[in-house]
Amino acid sequence: MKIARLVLGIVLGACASPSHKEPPVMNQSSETTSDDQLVAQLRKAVATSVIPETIEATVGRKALINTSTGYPLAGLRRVNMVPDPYHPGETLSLATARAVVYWARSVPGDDPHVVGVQVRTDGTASVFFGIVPPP
Amino acid sequence: MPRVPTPGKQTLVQAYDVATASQSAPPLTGGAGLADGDAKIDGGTLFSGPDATLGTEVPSVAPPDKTNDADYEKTMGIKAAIDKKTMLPVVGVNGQSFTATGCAGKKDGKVTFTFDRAFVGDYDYPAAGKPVRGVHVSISVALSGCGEHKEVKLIQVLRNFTKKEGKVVTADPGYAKRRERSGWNDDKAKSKGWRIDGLDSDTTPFYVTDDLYGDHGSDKAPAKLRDSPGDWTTDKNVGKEFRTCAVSYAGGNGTVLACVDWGYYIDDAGAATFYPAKPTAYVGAVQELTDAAERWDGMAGNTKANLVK
Repeated sequence: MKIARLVLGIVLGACASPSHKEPPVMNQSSETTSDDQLVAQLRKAVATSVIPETIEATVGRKALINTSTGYPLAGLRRVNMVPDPYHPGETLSLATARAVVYWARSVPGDDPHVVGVQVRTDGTASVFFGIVPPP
Repeated sequence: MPRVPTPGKQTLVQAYDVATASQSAPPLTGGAGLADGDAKIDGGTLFSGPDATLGTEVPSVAPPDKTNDADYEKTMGIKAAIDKKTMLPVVGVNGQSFTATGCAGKKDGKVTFTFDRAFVGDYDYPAAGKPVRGVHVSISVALSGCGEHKEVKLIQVLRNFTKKEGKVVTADPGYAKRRERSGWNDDKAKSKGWRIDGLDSDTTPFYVTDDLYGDHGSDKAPAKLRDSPGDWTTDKNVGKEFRTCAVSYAGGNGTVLACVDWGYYIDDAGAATFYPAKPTAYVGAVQELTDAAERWDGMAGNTKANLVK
């Protein structure tokens, strides 16, 4: 009986707040794996359906920016998101965006590398990459 | 015997009674409907007739209130920094005005740049999830006696700089688009390092693209600019200089009325200060602006600044 309660407690605890679970401290190889997983999760989400309000829970990581949960889209209009040279064709287009959600990637460098999803006003969605220099 | 109006406060019913009591009574002034004679009393209530001055067209929805400094500061993480006192007001600049006299050829015409907000220090930059060290400004630009200017837009140019042996030296702006706009890879570029302030994706030279960041102005309404530039808190011996210029547009051409110089510097010890210590305002175009704008106008796909020389 005690064991059953313990198992139940562990299960409930694990489900309590998956959206705010921070990635654990990792070495370089597991960071890379974690980054790959994030990108793969976002690509999968875009291929099926993206719900910006719940995507943080879906991928299990808190986003840097999520314009569907309080941060205004206008707040990004003077954020200079430089195209990531490794993903030149996958950039953020604020002009057509209805919602933007993005995460910091574990990529070396002073300026944060980010990956995210943009949901456009026409309902389509895509993954984007970028680098955020100081303002 | 007809009743006559009595002095003092009256109700509409009283007024109507008076009006209907005698055709010689003076006309009512309570609305066009009453004057039309379509008013009637039903169950002791006076209903006026149709009012010819009212249309059936539903008025458009009033525009939302413009964003204020508090909205911007909350969104950008500045408010939290001010509350925590990691950003502090710049004494002698915060709340102060700097005036350029002689705008548009008018001897007494003034362009006043008021730093409604001027803070220096660290704040958490939400877009990057990292702390930034630099300044935060909100600048109002008001014209007085400069003549008629229906459309005043703000164009801001800047350069990155560092110091070598105490002297200011233009620094590499870091990314391809900024280098292109700065003429960084052209040894013959005029005002090399100076560029129009905008995102990589911007195609217009105007600073304000959303009212969160300011407003365009006129001779009757001040223009506004909000900006919070900085570097990472780990950076040393870096800074940025800005020239914020009020440009009057008519017929697609822009006449520079006045500019104000301001910026920040983070020294070798990591301390940030306003740079120069006090802003300077002056009328007319500054060379860095005209050179950067000329470079901008020469790039394919850009809306031209079309500054009048």
